[in-house]
Amino acid sequence: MAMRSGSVNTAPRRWLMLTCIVLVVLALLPARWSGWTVWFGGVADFVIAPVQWPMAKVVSWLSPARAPTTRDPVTATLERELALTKDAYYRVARERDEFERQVTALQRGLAITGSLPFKQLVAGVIGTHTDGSVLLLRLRAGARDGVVDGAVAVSDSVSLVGRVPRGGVGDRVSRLIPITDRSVGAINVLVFPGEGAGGTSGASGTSGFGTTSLSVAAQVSPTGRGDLSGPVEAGRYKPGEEPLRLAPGMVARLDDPRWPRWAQMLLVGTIVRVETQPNGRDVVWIKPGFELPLTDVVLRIPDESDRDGPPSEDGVGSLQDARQPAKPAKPATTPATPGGGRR
Amino acid sequence: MSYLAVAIAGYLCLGLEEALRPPLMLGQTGIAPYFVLVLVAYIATNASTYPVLWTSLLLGLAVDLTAMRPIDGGTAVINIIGPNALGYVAGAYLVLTLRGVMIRRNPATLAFLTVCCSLLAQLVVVTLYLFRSLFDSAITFNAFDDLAARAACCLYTVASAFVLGYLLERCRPWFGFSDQSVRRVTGRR
Repeated sequence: MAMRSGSVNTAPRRWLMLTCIVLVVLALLPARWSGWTVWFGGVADFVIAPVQWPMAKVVSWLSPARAPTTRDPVTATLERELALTKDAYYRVARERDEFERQVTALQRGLAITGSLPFKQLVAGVIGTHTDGSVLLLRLRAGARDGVVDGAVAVSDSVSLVGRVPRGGVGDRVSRLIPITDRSVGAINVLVFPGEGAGGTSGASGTSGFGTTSLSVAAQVSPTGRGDLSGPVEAGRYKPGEEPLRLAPGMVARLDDPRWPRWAQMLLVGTIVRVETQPNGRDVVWIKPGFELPLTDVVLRIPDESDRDGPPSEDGVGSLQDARQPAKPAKPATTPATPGGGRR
Repeated sequence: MSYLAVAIAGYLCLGLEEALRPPLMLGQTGIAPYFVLVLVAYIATNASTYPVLWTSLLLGLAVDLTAMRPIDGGTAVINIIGPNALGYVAGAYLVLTLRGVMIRRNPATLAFLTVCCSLLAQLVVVTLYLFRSLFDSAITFNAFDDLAARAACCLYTVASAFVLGYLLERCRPWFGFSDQSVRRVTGRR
């Protein structure tokens, strides 16, 4: 009897130890062998999304996203139109410049594909995963709604928010990595004169639009505090033009071949600070064009013909394509039910 | 302990974790309180040893599965299974060790134990990522920044521990904790 009361059942301890050892192995498994875990993540998303959606709605009701500065709907519409037109203008201008460069360099006509077909989809933001180091948004739209890897999210029509990574598209929900997450790394941006409050019209500048013959490139990285900063790279000038000095208020646009071409020339943010380092190089701080928490984003989803192609080197597109997306899944201007209302 | 009540509470806390953190975030820093860890600390304060360890492991596993991590410069994401599960087990074990000398019904007790639990859990998570980063360069990882940000989240968790602790204490009868089991486990130590 004394033996029986003194014996300890060690089975639970053994099973716990065994499970912990398996978890240690899984935790240290290299990324190239961990692709299969995404499926389990998708299942977890599927299970957890039903409770997140009502909670996100309650939270957004209790703490609404920051209201836009312009309340007048007509002015807001005009501003949005202007932003879209500028977005298209810079893409076309880049196309023209690239075309000129190619013609000059190669002395032969090259077929510039130029078409930029993408559709737009409004997706509600139902969750934000953050543990202090990683920032991921969870969108209420997935493969069922047409979301694919590489889709780019924008806010206020043209402000780049981030992109949907590989493995981030579930059946009904998808993940979005914002450009302010440190894992995104460096982003190449271009600043044109004449754009933004701090800009001055260049020699050939047009009213409200910056001249595209003059630009300054910068490579900025997320700081982890919601903004981006980095050194100013080379400027592009034509003979006779004065070098552009960056100033707070100027706007930066994406010009990075590592990003999809349907994201090129989107607004990355506004320059808030420029500092000259002891070595003479300028460093800029850019405040993104969006602010968390977001209630929804507009996804730019490439058409099927464009999905498998490599990112564009030129990052160009046509005005018509950009202004008239091919068969939008849901008009971006009427976000009645985020996520396309298909859940 | 009622496993159904724990499962429902865990499900709701997982939902809160991502739904409530954005508005509670300090500016755009990504620093926000944890919710699941408060539940882990609460269960570890009141239940017996093995149910606590298994529950914390499963809750940590759920966090691992819902938390994707960017790789390859943010162009892809994967789930890393293990770090949070092991971290939560370690954190729960610390609470099991400390609870014998705490006044359990005091609201500040849960807040204190939550901070201890979450700090140890995040230390384990960062250590595992650090080991991983030695041979796997796919993940962008800065141990010092990561640990600092997570520690800030842990301290911020005090606020959620007070609120969530009050709510959990109101639901105490549903969890079916028995005081005898706690005394027995504590007494054995």
